[in-house]
Amino acid sequence: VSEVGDSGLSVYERLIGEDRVSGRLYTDPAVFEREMERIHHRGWMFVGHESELAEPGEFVTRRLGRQPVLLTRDDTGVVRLWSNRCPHRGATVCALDQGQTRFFRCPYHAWTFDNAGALVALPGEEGFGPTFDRDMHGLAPVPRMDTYRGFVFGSWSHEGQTLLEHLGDARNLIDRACDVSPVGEISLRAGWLRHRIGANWKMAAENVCDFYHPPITHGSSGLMGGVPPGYFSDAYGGLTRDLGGGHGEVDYRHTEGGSQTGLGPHGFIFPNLFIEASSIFVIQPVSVGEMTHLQTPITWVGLPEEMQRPQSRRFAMAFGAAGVIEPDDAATWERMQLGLQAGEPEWVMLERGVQFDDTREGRALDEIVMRGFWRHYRSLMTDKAAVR
Amino acid sequence: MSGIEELLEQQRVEQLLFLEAQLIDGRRFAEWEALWVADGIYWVPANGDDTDPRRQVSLIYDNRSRMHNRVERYAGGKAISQQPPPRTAHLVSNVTIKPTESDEVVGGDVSLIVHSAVHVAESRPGVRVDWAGRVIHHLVERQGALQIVFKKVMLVDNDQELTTIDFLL
Repeated sequence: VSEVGDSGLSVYERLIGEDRVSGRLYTDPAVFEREMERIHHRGWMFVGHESELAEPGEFVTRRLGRQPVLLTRDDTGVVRLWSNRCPHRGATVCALDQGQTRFFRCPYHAWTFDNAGALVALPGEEGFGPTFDRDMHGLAPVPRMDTYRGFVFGSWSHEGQTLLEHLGDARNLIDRACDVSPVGEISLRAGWLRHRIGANWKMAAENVCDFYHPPITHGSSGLMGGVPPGYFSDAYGGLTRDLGGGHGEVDYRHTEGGSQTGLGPHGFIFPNLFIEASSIFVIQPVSVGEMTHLQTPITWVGLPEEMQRPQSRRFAMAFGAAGVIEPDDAATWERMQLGLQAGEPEWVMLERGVQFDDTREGRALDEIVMRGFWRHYRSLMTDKAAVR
Repeated sequence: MSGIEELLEQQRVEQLLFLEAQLIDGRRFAEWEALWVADGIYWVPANGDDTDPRRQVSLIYDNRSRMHNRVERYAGGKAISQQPPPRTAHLVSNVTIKPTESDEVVGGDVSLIVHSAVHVAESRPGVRVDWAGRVIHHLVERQGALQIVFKKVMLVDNDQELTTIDFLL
């Protein structure tokens, strides 16, 4: 175990400056372990969308942090979030990514649970004696689950801020994504592309509101022809906004080309959700040097097909492991992961537009959202109340 | 069709598939594009083999202009993920010609349906990946030559997390 993991909380105060962070935060396994404990296995994280479970009995399996979870809609229509783990001996009770079922049966001893999590059958129950209580052996719910406009979030912590408190000003991103639809509803039923990338999860998080990189990283994509000239420059007039709580957005609504790159907002909800105009991305940490980047296109309920089609075409072309945008981001993050193995210089620089930090709003290319991310990250990694 | 004719047709089809593999591995993209008819579709489904590409996400669902955009990007020297370009070797096998009236005809203008299997060995810096899948080609006879109307690559792991695919399958 390295010095970073072992030593006191103040180490993180030193590793995370106002305009720079240590490269070790992307490469040290001990940092990753602490992140899992203090961020992904404690705070609120996006896990799925209610529309993925539109029908009773529909389910999806995901990871919440590193832990396998099962999101279900029971026969009465209630959405629930479980550990995907048999309470008997621990096998996953569901091996599929998604589907529809009334029952989940463990493969080991056939303990069987209904889609409301109750243990409803097990072989040889009488052998467990008269005190055996099925009610004590249902699926274990994830301690907290809550939804906002169909977006389902989970937390492994029994206590802490509410989902609405966690979302804070970032609620507006979800509102705007939904309100593209005339009835205020989105649907995510096209399935997910899951891209495994050899880089630390924070590189994807920071990249969301990095409008400095697109013309360079994505210059080959053929999609730059779709944005107005000079779009990715400060002069064009877009704004980048630190929404607090690690959340942030880039906002072009007030500019001439404001509606040209997609219909919804472009923003990040800490620590794992990226709403990209007409797509949803989830950043899934795997290890200090690996992540999975999940992506799916948004369908807006009630919006005419001809308004949706260009967006779904753009998704199909750009994203996933074989898109023309995503592989260049992935390659860049993988190059960063390699480069940061060099311990000198110590710092990764995030200084662009630091003079606007007081207002939490900068020019389009400023690194203001990244600094907001790190301030929130630092508060979580050094939170003394979180030490157990 | 006589036994000899069947043999010749089998060989002709195999030679086309082998040529396609060699053009891809040799990064001879213009020649690869020339194998296709103007309204060709190149499809790599995700999350299963029999999805609806208009409603479900696919890894690749390219018409000809997108195919062109894709290979232009490979050849253009600007893409970060092509620095250096991945090196690939395609092994094509199990080539079988199916009767056209049999199964999955998408358009009217198809002379031959060909099933095969492909194994692609990919190498790029620090990464060595093996890809495998079943492949369906729809071919059409045009001025005495076979051209590709439709190609569907069903990767065995298309329902799993996948690393970058920045080459032609």
